Amino acid sequence: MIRSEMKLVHWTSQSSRLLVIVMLLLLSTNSQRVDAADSIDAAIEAIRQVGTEGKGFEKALPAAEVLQDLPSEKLSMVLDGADGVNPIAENWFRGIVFGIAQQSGTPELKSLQDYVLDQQNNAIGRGIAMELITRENSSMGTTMLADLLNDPSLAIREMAVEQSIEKAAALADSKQEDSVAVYRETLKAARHPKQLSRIVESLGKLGETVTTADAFSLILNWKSIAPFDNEGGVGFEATYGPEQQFAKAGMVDLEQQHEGKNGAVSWQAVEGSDDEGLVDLADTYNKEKGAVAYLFAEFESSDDRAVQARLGCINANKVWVNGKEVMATEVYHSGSMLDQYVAPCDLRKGKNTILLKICQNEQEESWAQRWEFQFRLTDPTGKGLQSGQ
Amino acid sequence: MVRPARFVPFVVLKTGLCFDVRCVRVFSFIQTVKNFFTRSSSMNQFNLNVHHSKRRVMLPLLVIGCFLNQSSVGSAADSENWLGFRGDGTSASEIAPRSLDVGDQGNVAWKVTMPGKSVAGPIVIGDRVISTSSGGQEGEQLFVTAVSLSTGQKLWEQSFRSTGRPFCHPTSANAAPSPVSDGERVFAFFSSNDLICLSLEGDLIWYRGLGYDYPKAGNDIGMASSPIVADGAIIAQVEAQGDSFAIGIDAATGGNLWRMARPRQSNWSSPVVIDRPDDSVEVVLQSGRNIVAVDPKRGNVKWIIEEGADKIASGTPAGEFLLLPGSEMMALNIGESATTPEVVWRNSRLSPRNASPVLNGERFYSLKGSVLVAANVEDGEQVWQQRLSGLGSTWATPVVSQGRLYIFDQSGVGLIVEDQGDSAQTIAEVDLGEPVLASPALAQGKLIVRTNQTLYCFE
Repeated sequence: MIRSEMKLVHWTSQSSRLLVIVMLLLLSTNSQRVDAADSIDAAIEAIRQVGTEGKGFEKALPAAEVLQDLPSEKLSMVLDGADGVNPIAENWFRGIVFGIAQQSGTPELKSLQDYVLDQQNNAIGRGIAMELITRENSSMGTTMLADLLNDPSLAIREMAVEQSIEKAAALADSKQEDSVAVYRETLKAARHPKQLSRIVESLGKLGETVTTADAFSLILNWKSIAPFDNEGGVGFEATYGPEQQFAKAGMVDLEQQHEGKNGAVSWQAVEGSDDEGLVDLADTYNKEKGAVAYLFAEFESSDDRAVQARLGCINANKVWVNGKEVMATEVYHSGSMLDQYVAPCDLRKGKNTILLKICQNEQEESWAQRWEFQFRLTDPTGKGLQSGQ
Repeated sequence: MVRPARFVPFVVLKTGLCFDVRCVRVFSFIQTVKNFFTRSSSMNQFNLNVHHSKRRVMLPLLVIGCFLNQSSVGSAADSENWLGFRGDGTSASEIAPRSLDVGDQGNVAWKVTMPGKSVAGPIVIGDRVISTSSGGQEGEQLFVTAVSLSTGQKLWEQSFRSTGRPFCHPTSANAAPSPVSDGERVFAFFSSNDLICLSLEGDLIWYRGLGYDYPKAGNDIGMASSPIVADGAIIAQVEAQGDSFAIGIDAATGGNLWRMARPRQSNWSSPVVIDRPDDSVEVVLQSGRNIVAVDPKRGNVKWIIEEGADKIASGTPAGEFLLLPGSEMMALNIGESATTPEVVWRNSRLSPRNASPVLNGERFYSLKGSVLVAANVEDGEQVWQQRLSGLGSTWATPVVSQGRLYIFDQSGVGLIVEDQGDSAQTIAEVDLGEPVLASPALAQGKLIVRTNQTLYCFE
């Protein structure tokens, strides 16, 4: 190793003069370059093309270096570049923006503020700019967020909702009515399930009657049929009668019996709990293990629209809407929460049909006995939808 | 501290030659020069008239300065850096503080409130302490923060949003895997399988979303396997019931070098780098089903042992042995090249609960909740066992220096336990008042402890 270091020292002595010359040439070359705006655009475009598994990285790597050398006055160009990009490219833009802020010093906050307040700017760029403002000047961020509770950018809305929750909590002891009013207003604006849950819980403590099921528009009324065989995990891929019917026609025959794991089985009504909207299949089917249950519901939509199916489920599951599979997850007893799985799907005007497949395995541990789910449909921002509205 | 016959180096250069961490500075210096030219060249394609930023002006001067100041290159001791989970993989360092006192006259050099929650161990690269955090409603906000080791001043902070599943058990955090560094870059990994490569100055180099690339990757209790760097590749184990794989990623470009299917089973253990006498390097991947060694650059399998190992506690290189926890602690003989290592000994009484084995020369320690066991590396014979009074449930792997172990429990109680040969003695105790699930770092004689929300430096 010492010999290696000595060679390095020798090499560096000989090369230092050459290096200085080369570097000066490079700087000189740079200074002669023109048409900077086009070049920035090219670098931004390289970042926009970043995709999965390293796609586009070859061009994005040098582009990121170039962009992080920009002065903070050019931040808006970079923020504009984030318009409509995928989540990977969004993080490249985030890193670049914060890199610029680190290298060029504090950005000019007034221009960032203008950028955020102009809702014609893209949601991703506005969200990054808002985060930068709150980091650089928290009081300025607080003032701005007070007016952004219903902002179209989900990131900004989430920050505003958080601030509003804190405001309501601060009022809870001294001005209960005011606190309730702020919580109620915030409840309408909130989209994130964790924030919704906290508001519901806080309103409950203030004597208000709001359930999670209502706040989230969870679907409570289902028809269920079970148990079908899932011993050894065979049920997840198996297509039992209800699934075959639904895949073929987008509908099931609720009057028809099917051959289940322990004999003939029929459809029956099941309901989610009033408070959490949780449908407890373990209770309904006597803690059957190694079993599959199918759940069916209809949903009225006032028009054709893009929505999201949102499932919270600690068991392996599949979801179909109008005969089309929209999600499938073969994971058992590895955590569960509201909106755990989210998938886009389409509703058509009028009656829509939903089929769920909820699979219980054969684990014997006490923490592996739950067989349950919560389900809802939301608009693309996460606002819960009620059937018929 | 007496080391085993062969010290296992941590940093392995592209040439295949092995250096200990003293060479990190040399390597970093060469790369800085190389990067400067590469960067200038690659920037040409954007034909950009870049303004004279601080960095652009300073970098040539810095490079020149490096040449002029070359006598200092390579002078750092191997206790200067702590480049990943458990440092060089053993959890050991040469020097450490002798007390843990948070009082006014105590030995807290500084403490810094961090932007979110973390159970990830900090790392140290020169004067930079790097710590990851997660915040937001579900831990979806990802932070990488650099703090000056000497002053506690925040140097820079980067912020991202997870592209994979951020969910985890309430006691854990999205910031669960420890970051790792090759001495010139920081690689920050999260439970959501987001992998971020930053320069030491905090600039983004590249960003991967493995949970976005492979959407079934992850589990909602939280992932925790810490990546390693070897032979220019970052190796991560992303093992769960859905998409389950190990992956090698080019440290320079962020591209996939290889990806191999792994058992579809939750696994939180971390890969381990071992080197063989012929200077070849292998990365050992353990799971509940088997133990596999792969070439870090190509991912081809070098050997397999069809026996399950622990899914939480990770293996520890110990000279000619690799200590592998499981239902039994076992020692593999890695002292012969190009062979499948043989099991030298097994001892079920030495299996740790959550923390990985800690190496102290010819002896190692296994933490079983609040019970600490010392044993010989050579033959697996237990030397002593001691219940540690005042210590509760433990997750963090302890660190060790000169026979003193630094052990923290889930409530934030920390102990210095001194190995006195045939018994152990607690010589210091502290209560940080916040959960500690992250393995601490030891560098430059300082102990860096990451609690849930705070970074402490004891000197």
